[in-house]
Amino acid sequence: MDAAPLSGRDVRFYLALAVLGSSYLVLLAAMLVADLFYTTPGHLWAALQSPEIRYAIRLSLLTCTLTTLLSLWVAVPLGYLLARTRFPGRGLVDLAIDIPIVLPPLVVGLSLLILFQTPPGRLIERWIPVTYAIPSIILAQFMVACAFAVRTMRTTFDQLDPRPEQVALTLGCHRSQAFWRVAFPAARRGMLAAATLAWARSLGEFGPILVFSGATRFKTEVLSTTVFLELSIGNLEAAVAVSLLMVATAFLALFILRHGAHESALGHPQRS
Amino acid sequence: MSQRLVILGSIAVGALLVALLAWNPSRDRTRHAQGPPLLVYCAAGLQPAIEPAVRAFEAETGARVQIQYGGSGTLLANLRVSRVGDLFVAADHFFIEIARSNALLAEVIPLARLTPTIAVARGNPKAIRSLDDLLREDVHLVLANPDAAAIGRVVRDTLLARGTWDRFETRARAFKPTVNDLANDLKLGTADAAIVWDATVRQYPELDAVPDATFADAASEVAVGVLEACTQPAAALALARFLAAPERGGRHMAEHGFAPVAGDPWVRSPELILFSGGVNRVAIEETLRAFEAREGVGIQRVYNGCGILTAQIRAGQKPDGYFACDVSFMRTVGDEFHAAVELAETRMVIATPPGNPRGLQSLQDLARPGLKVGLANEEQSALGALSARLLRKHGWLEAVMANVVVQTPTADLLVNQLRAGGLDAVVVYEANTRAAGEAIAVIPISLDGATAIQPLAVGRQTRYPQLMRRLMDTLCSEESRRRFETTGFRWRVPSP
Repeated sequence: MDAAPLSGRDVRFYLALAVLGSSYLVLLAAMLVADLFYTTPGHLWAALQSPEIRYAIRLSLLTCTLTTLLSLWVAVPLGYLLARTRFPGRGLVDLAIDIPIVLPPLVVGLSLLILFQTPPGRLIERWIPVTYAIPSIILAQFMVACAFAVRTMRTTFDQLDPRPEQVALTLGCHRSQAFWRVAFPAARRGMLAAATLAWARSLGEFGPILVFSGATRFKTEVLSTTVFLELSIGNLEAAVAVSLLMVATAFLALFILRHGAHESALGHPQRS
Repeated sequence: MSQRLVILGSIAVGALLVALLAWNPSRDRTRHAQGPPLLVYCAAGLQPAIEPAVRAFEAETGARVQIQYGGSGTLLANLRVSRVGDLFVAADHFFIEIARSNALLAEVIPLARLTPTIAVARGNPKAIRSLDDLLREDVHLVLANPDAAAIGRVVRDTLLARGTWDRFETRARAFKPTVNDLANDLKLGTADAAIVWDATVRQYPELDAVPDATFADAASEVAVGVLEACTQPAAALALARFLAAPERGGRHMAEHGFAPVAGDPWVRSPELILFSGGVNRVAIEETLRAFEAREGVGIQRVYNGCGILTAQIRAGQKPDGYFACDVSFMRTVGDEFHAAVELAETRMVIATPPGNPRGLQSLQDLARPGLKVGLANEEQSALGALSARLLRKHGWLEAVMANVVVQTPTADLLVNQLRAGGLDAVVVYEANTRAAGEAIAVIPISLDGATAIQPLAVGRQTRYPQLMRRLMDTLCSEESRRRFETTGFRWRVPSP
């Protein structure tokens, strides 16, 4: 925004934008406040004291982080390929990435469940138990979170100017060196955005986990399934307390990620 | 940025995360237990009652159990696809029926009875007194979806029978997929009234029930089913029996508002006593052994002539079940047993040495001079009673009895004596002759009344009525039918 004084028309314009934009924020804040009033510190404390919920917190944090890492391992190369190269079937690949985003979450879970009942799936299960075990949580989270991470990384590489890489190539770098020395560091901010999105999606994942992993206490119970279990027995207070814990956890994690992104971006300004 | 640092660093972080996930302190606590854990699919709404009961089972037996919670419908869909697991605890019978129709369940054991009731917020602020009040303009009514929840279906069927369903369907503000969704709506104040299970009201201190006789006869039940996919049936059935036992799982069910059914008392390996006529032994022995192995129980068999068995019963013996050689003997002790099921029938035959050297063709031929005949004892066995009745009816009794050199309490003894060469002919059941094969000749008796019908009944005073009911179901199964038919019996149980 420039420093010129605002006219009355401009003020009305910004006011209109602020009113429209804040309606969503007000609704969000109202929801959280309503939740806060529905629970008490005692319920929150009881939730934190519960061994089941503590296990669910630990499992949620670990699986979300591992899923995020796996998503980045896939999203960075795939995003780069889609942004920088032209290959047969590229349009189809681009389309396929959106499938987990548009599919109802329960369908993702059901499809994974069916997949692991096929002969190849059963073969894998003979060596690594997946269905109703912890790997199924990571897989269920990964199927959805990765799609968001790939989409973010593709946009990131799309927005990065290819010229520095081309210059690197003319100076004697081969393609992989140009990627690692030029594109990869420049995409750091996008990677953090992709990681944030993947982590947040993983934390909120519920449907596929319920179907593919079940909700076994001290085994496959993550925070989202805890909310469901408490709701199923009419323990709304505990459900709300766990929901608020999720909000706080997510807020803290996102803050750390965003803060990291900001710090890293300071040293690596991007063209766009 | 160093390529190597990024790759190795991320792999190291990934490995660390996997290691942390693999380390599960709660799993370590139970690692000493032997064998794989039982996998139980449990309706999430039953968690408060089932969880402590299962933990008590683990503590008492040393078994390990994993409970997977979810909506009954979701769990059903899961196990249809995955085909793994041992038990399915359904919130109501609706899902048990679906599971059965999909051939997912072997045994089903009821745990608690559920009756629909009107539920309102505590204090009944809208002064709802009857079912008709739910149709008032100022009452926000929510109902369960009849296609998704048993409570919805039971309510719809009851109201359809009264011809009022259309009015309630129109008045309902929303249809919810589970009974807990209805209760949560009342708790939050989203709705003023709902029709839920009586147990649901007892679980929510924020709700009150409004008595109404409309649903008095409409009921469902919480039940546990053993999955066909179960790989540890004895352990799974032990847990199911534990959950149904009044002083174990039943106590937890009652504490959480359910009305437990009268299950069998908990005994780790219960022992049944089965009285059976000797002729039935060949047909039931394999089935009984399979039942013992599957259930992890013992069956004390008492095979003997039915006259002796019924005398013992009249003298005060209380078997858990009685499988008679013929209905005539069951009638004499009928007061001691529930209604009997006629399982099978077998014809009476004349058995002779191979090749029928005396050329015997009918029962009357047994009166020929010089024959050595064996009959079952009239007082001690059903076969003896039937043989005597048949001979008496045709006026041959006296003449045949002149040739009788031995009378035994069971037909097996007669066959053995015939094979040993001591007799020219014996009157036995066709089923008694199968095991001898070519070692004896068999001559059918084509007379009315030459057939014995074998009824099975559960004792009125058995300690284990549910276990006996399952034994009865097993003896009535198709597998059992095959065993009866290959041992010379004809099957009498009507197809389901």
